[in-house]
Amino acid sequence: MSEEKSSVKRRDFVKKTSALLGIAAFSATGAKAFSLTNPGREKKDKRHIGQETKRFVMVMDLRKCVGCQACSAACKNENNVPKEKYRTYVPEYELGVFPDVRKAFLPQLCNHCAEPSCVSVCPTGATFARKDGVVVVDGDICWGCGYCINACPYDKRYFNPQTNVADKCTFCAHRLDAGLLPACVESCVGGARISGDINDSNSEVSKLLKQFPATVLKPESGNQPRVFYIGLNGEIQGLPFSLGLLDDKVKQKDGLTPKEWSSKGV
Amino acid sequence: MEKSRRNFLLGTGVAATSLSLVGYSDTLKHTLTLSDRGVKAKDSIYVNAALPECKVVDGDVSLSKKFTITPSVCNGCTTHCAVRVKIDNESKKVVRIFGNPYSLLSSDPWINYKTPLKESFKLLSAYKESGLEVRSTVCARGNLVHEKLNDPFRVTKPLKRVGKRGENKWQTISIEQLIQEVVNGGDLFGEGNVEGLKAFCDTKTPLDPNNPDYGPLANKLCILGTGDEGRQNFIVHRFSLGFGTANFMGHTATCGLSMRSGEAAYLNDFVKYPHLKPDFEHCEYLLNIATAPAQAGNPFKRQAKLLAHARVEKNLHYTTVTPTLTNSDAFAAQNRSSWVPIKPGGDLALVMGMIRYIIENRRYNEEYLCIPSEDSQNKLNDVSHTNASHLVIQSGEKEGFFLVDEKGEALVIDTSDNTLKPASLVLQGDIYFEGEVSYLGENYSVKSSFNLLKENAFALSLDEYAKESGIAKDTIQELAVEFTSHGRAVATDCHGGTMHTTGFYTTYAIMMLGALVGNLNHKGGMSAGGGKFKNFDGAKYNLLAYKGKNKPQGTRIDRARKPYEKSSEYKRKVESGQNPYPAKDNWYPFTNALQTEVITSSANEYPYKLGALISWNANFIYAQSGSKNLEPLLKDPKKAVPLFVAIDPFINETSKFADYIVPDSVLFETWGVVSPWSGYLTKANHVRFPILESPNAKFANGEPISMDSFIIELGKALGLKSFGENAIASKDGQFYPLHKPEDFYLRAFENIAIDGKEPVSEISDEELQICGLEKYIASLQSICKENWRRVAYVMSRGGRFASKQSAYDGDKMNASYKKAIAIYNEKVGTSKNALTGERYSGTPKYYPSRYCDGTKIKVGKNGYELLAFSYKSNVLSSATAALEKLREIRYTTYIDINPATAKKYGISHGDEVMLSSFEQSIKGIARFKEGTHPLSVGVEHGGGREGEGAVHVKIDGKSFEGKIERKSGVFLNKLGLLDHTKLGIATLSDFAVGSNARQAIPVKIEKI
Amino acid sequence: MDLGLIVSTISTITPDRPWGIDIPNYFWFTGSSAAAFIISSFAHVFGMKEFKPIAGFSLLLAFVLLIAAPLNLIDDLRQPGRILNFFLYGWENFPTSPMKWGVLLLMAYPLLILAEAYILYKPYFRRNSTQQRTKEEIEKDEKLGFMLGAIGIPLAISVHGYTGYILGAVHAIPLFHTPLMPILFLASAMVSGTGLLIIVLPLFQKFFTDFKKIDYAMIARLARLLAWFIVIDLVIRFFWLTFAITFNSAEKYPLSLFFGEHLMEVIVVEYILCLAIPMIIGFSKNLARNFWIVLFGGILSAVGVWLFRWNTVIGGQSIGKTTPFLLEYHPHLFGPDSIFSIVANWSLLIALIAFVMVIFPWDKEMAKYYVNKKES
Ligand SMILES: Nc1nc2c(c(=O)[nH]1)N[C@H]1C(S)=C(S)[C@@H](COP(=O)(O)OP(=O)(O)OC[C@H]3O[C@@H](n4cnc5c(=O)[nH]c(N)nc54)[C@H](O)[C@@H]3O)O[C@H]1N2
Ligand SMILES: Nc1nc2c(c(=O)[nH]1)N[C@H]1C(S)=C(S)[C@@H](COP(=O)(O)OP(=O)(O)OC[C@H]3O[C@@H](n4cnc5c(=O)[nH]c(N)nc54)[C@H](O)[C@@H]3O)O[C@H]1N2
Ligand code: SF4
Ligand code: SF4
Ligand code: SF4
Ligand code: SF4
Ligand code: SF4
Ligand SMILES: [Mo]
Repeated sequence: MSEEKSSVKRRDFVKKTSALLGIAAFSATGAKAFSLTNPGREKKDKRHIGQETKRFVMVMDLRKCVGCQACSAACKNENNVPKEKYRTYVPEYELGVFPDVRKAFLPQLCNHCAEPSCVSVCPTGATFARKDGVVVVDGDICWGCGYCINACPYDKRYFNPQTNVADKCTFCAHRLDAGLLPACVESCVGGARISGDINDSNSEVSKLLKQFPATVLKPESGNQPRVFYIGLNGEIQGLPFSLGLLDDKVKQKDGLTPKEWSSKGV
Repeated sequence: MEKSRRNFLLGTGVAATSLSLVGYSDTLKHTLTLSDRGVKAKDSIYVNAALPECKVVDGDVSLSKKFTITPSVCNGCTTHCAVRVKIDNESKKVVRIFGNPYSLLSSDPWINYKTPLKESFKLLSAYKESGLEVRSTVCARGNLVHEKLNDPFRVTKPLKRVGKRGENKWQTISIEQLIQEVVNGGDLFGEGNVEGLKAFCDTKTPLDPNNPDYGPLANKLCILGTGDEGRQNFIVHRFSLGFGTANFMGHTATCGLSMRSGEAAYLNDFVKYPHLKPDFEHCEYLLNIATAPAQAGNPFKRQAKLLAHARVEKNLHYTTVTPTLTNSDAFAAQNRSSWVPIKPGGDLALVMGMIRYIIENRRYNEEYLCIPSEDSQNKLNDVSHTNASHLVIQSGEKEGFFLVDEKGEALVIDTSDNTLKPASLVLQGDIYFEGEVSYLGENYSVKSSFNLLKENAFALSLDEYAKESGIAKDTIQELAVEFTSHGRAVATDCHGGTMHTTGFYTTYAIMMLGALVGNLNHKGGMSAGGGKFKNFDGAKYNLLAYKGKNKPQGTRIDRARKPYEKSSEYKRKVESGQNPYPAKDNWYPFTNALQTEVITSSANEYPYKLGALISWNANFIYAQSGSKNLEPLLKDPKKAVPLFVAIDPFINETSKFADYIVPDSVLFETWGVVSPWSGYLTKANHVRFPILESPNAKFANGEPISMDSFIIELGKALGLKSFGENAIASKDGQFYPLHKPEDFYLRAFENIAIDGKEPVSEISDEELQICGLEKYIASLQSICKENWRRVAYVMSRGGRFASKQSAYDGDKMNASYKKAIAIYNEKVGTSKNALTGERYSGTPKYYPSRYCDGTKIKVGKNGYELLAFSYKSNVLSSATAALEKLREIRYTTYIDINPATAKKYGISHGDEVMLSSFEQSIKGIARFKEGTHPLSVGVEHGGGREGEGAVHVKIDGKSFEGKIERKSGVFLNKLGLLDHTKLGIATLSDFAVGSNARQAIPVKIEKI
Repeated sequence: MDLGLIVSTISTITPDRPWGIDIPNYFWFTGSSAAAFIISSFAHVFGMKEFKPIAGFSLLLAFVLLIAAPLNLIDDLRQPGRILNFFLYGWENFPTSPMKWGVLLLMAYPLLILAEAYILYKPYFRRNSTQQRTKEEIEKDEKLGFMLGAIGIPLAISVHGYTGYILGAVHAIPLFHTPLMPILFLASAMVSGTGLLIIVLPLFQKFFTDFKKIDYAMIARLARLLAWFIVIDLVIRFFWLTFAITFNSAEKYPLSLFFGEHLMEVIVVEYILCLAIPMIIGFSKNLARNFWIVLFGGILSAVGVWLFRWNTVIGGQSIGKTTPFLLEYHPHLFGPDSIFSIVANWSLLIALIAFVMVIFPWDKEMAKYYVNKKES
């Protein structure tokens, strides 16, 4: 993939420029602690480097998604995702007006973008893309500024209220690194979630992408998401428009204290 | 600056600084000490993810020593999927639940039964991407269901109520006290004497000398269950029948009795109640009426998966007919899926219209319908047959019965020579015959079953059917044409949406469509299930039989399984020259069990009053439409239930009215044997054994209290023969004791292991260790002797499963249904409504929604213009709605309304509204949902809980506050109607079979 | 609005948002600081003599605002104890992370102000010493002052401009994402900074100087200046909004949704009350002569810019990125990033003003312009 190359080039350039700037600005600080990236990456920790020859992606074959939320639940359990935080979720929509209405589902998780805006804005280097494309956060480094959370065009990050650092889908890196499949993929009832290595042209994901037209969410974001969708309706590809979600309103009616950020309802 | 001003500034500065320091104290503390806030994640990159259970490197599997992965069964819904549970060896806590890849309920294709366990992990991994194909899933509920295990509201010690029934105030008591009081009774609550079970543990003394047909005193005990999660046979055969009561009922009356009975009528078996499911994988056109695969349905995951798979990779097209747009549909499935919105209760007219059109236009499979018997079917090499050509007597004493020969075999007119012959000798019977025949010198006026069906179908014109169903005539025709355009690889499915007053005939009609094309047992058509390996009654033991077992005798409290015409009441009336009709209340001759009638009947003392009720995980107050009206009957011990013992690990909407709560196991803590419900084509059995230690109080023998151990000890205290020494007999005449559940279940496992020509393999030591079976070796060896390694093999795989390849023989399903399909059902056609004496129609027929005595239910009058219905949540189920983690995914439920309808009533999205039926009102938040039929309002089922931690409970003086997360939402059953044409306080039900009518409730809606 | 195919959401989640009330406050502080600095430079960089009397005062104001400002940032951090990580790691992202630029700016800028203030007030610190300053010395200091001021202006612009950059670079949030954001922030900063001066200057002149007189002419001048800044601000906002909402782009729809919901609030409060009224006051000779009216205008504009920051930071985050509705922010009362944090920050500002005004001989320096004038 040529764009992959160009992005490598770009990153290279970025690296060099920042090296110069960084060194200029901070040659005084102890050279030992100072890092262009972060200590884990410098140490070539394999959790930070990933599986070098691979490029993990996911294909969502929406034709098979039944909106069962098994993925959402599996992720919550496997990753101990804190209360009311979600690494993945499957919004349910209805398209059209009675009687011409269709159901639509949009399973979403971190896109592990080729040009992740969450990474480029991170001032501590805590978040980064591994060599296999998995975008992760080093929880020991993150100082919790939240810039990445706002920078992600897909709302796929949150502050983990237990660890107080940015958190998100890791593509289940802990499972990938053990030769296993991500939890949401394993538990996908409809078989809609297909993950794999796009550098391997025989992989299921490569085959699907060759065979079917696929698209990504908000292609105009420039992030080059690496979660692809087959059968995506354009109206929900970007920011869908509809009446508000009532859940938070009901929570307030039920007497629960509103979350710091809650949906407005209607 | 003047000094005073300077000082003023300095003073202000100091004061402001202190305020600032207070405000920033936490931030400054961390900033200055360079310390972290919160707790560090377990891993800086992987965060708090669980450690993997194994590692697969280049195809080499190394299993983690930290976990044990053991098979079990999920009870997050009635599907009871086979799962594998990852347990932390140190904390003994459940870390994760996976699907069991050996089972067809969790994987399709499922892996070969002989696959070594270690290999199974490889097949599930990313290695060669095989995991993508065999992925073994659990649904949203299954992933989180283990939260139940540690629920703070879980009951682990026996509870006895203090204060009045339903006040939810309890004290813990010892197991010994529990058994003593339940058996012997006494002045247990300071409210006067209560009879213990001993008082009517009597199969000799008649319950009511005036009505000897009511059976023995033992019938005063009634036991209520729920869906069978593997232990129902144990309680029914060992306890109910050991005790001698005829009164056991599961939850079918609130679940899908309309469907079950309609299919039983169609399959002509009201004993086993078999039922049908589509062959999703090979079906070309599927008509889902009143059910919604992928939204819910049983087997939930399996059919969802097959539906998704078949609409993408196979030839499946399908239409779903429901009042609400469900997850059966998906935009991305394009033209493979379509939705026909229908007003609740409109289906019977729709389907009768289709049948009319198909018959009128001769779009049915005539050759198939003419096959009169199994012999002819075999000769013609067909897959199933019907009684379409059988002749129904039209007058005289035998009216409604089939014309049969002296051996009871049906007589049909052979089309080849137009003579009357036994069906087995005829290849093609005349399905159009109508007229006089003479047999053995007697003349009969007869009509073929098919003609009776035709007559009923032609009773209304297509326009009339269109009007009654609210479905355009064109649509009815299109559906009929589509259904009859794909040969025999078409199917129908129905379920929860038929739970209304004419649901029985609705189902019967829906199934009838299949008979018209001949889809039963046909690849891509309908299947009655793949069957199972012999379990309770097998090669070595019949565990359901024992010396001293009672047959159910007399009249059931729900007046099911028995015609009114056999009662003493009837006889008395006839003898005294009275019109026997109406009876005091309706009887249900072809219904198996009606949980919904129990409280009412006992309160009405018709047929009699109960002495005690034992409920086991039953929650009819939440499940039954109209149950609000039953609460007063339960609250007062004098009214319906003098002694109420609930076996349940939770205090639910029903068990909160109990006198005692006996803690049952949760999830994976007990034994069980269960087979898939339907929707599969190959043999499958699931087994379950205690893989977690129960936190419950223990009996003296070390067994934690649960349903099983409780009834063993209770049974012994009552002196039942079904428990204790020599309670189990092997087929070779040996006797064994039944003291612990394992004495029973391990033997059932053994039956499974050795069933068939080839028993299962023996397990290796390595595999014993992998799935944590070592702790069972002692029991296995002592109970299963030489078979112990085979039994362990079954346990290690979570059951026994035939291969996917064994499904078909050409176009024929290997597991075939043998009996004739009842185009006309004799049993139904010769039964009468006890309130009116009206004969039921023996073939599907259109009836408008009605009360039991035939009075029409009025819609539209006094503003009750809309029809309320509920639909199963794709996320919640009644058994899991109290899981707070699951409620993060589906927080609440709404009153769904079509925006156009809402506008008419001045209601906006998010308004609080009041929904009222003739009986009750509920409040809720209106949600605009385009995919809602304009004449209806829908409610997702699962919200508005008032049990299982949703409400305040007091135990031993300690208060447990209810959680709003469990309570939130709308609970439609509160609105349910009463049937005032029946006796006393009776909830509305199907007029023929008594299934609870939870759909199509006339309501009005107002903004508050 | 024609939305094409009607989409109804049956279920979705409420996404997370990281920035709370601390952040608009931070932006207001750095902005006002930059403005105060620039106004102080009017005199010694651009030679606008009429602003000379308040140059020092304004400079000190710039200083305290900027010292207080970063606490908002630190308080907003979930892990303030990891502040060193910011200095040590992640330099790879320097070109693409405007937040990173902040380190340099936030350190350099206050140092520079301090140096400038020191030079400005050097003579007054030495009051008691017998030494007379030589002409060369004075010229040298003036030159140095000019130079620091000249460096300071771009630095001040950067210190606030970068905050605009922080937002503008966030292409994920349509309300943030415009290249105009840095100058929009600067323009509104000038408004709030001037407004703040209009509030604080008379207070200090009246109560904390020896001459105890308010320079009403200066106030009127500031009012006029404020009016011009508002004009600039409005022009930029005009470009911003007309481009964002009128012409088709991916951002048009979410912004229409947002402004559709908040139209009245934004127009009445932000535009009419907080910008149009102070502008009219500033341009109207009659009104500008009335001190109380000007003060009122100053307060309005300072508050208005705060609200603008709030509406931008909170409002921007309230727009769903993949969820089709607006969010609501309910700030915590206590704890980090809470309403009490804002109280703490303003207290800190007040404390700093108090201390700095005590330490620096600004009143003596200022008296030079008034006392002499009067006597002469
Ligand atoms: N996700 C999930 N799966 C489950 C369960 C669960 O709770 N959640 N429960 C399990 C159980 S116990 C069962 S019995 C099955 C039931 O599975 P289903 O039968 O598929 O579920 P229901 O929601 O009871 O009914 C199906 C549909 O009937 C429609 N309906 C209501 N009234 C009418 C009507 O008058 N006419 C027509 N044509 N349609 C109508 C509703 O829109 C509803 O979507 O699901 C099982 N699977
Ligand atoms: N309005 C409306 N009403 C409905 C339905 C609907 O769709 N709409 N659905 C109907 C259907 S299809 C059904 S099947 C019925 C279901 O209704 P019921 O058969 O009454 O069963 P549940 O409510 O699923 O569960 C019964 C009880 O089991 C207990 N329990 C939960 N988990 C465990 C466990 O792990 N171990 C043990 N031992 N006990 C446990 C809990 O106390 C729970 O309340 O409801 C029916 N009612
Ligand atoms: S989806 Fe968001 S969080 Fe994930 S890589 Fe892309 S920008 Fe980053
Ligand atoms: S919150 Fe953490 S990961 Fe995100 S940008 Fe800030 S430091 Fe980087
Ligand atoms: S890949 Fe893992 S972390 Fe990401 S959404 Fe799926 S389960 Fe969650
Ligand atoms: S588990 Fe699969 S089918 Fe179910 S909602 Fe998630 S992506 Fe869709
Ligand atoms: S379908 Fe039912 S039994 Fe199967 S995993 Fe889900 S909740 Fe459990
Ligand atoms: Mo059910």
